[in-house]
Amino acid sequence: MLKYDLIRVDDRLVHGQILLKWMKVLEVKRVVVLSDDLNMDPIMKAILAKTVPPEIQLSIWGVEAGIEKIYAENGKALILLQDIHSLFILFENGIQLKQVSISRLPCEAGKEKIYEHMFVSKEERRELGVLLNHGVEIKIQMVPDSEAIKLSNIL
Amino acid sequence: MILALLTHGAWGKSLLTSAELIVGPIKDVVCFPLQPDRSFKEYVNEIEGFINKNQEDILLMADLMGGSTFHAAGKLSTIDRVQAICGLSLELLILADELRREYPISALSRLLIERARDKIVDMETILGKE
Repeated sequence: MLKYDLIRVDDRLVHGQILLKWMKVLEVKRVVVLSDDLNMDPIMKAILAKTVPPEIQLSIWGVEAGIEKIYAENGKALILLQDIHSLFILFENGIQLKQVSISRLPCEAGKEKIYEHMFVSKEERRELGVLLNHGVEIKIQMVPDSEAIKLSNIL
Repeated sequence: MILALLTHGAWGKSLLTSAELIVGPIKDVVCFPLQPDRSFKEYVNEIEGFINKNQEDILLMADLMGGSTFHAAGKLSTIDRVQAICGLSLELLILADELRREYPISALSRLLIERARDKIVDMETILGKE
């Protein structure tokens, strides 16, 4: 089974120094991206495969297939998700959410602002509520050096 | 040909102002600042909308390899008449503005990289080590 300490939610997924900072702190060389959008985008997949630093191992899977892979694969990784709904699907499928870190939740139509750089839809608010209710520790933090805000304090 | 500056935050606009201090007014440059509140999807959609509205050739110039501006440029570079390059700087912007008057978009990326490559130097190399 794939070991992981942290699940990260970031709509920009694999992006530059930010991801590297997290990987340094977590002491992992592997990042596993569970995203249906990215998995179905051959151009983006090719760009990422060719531009991640050579010491980083990158895997990109759809969310459902990725859940099976977590059980099938070995080693230690950072798990990276695109949105709250993906996080909720992992939860529904029995994946343990030890620690969750959210970068920010961008503004989109129909979303309500709950904090600086944090916008949620009705559905996301409910899903996050369920997760908090089950004791999942969710923090909002852009980079490891910046201030972490507990979601339970603002939702 | 339009030059589109894809930057983290609003520095593309300042860069343009600074470039104009050197070479005078530069036409047909458009800035796409990536702000922390915006989603990546929305950012890509905005640039794509601009490309579709303007039937001209467009050179996308992104500011950080591996960053979201770079990914957006890469995604959109598959459109015909769009080329994308990374490593935006004052140097690169001024060069691109010069070269686009003489060369077609198909030749631009290669030329820009060739000419900009020598522009990162240390003074020791120029002056020689004492």
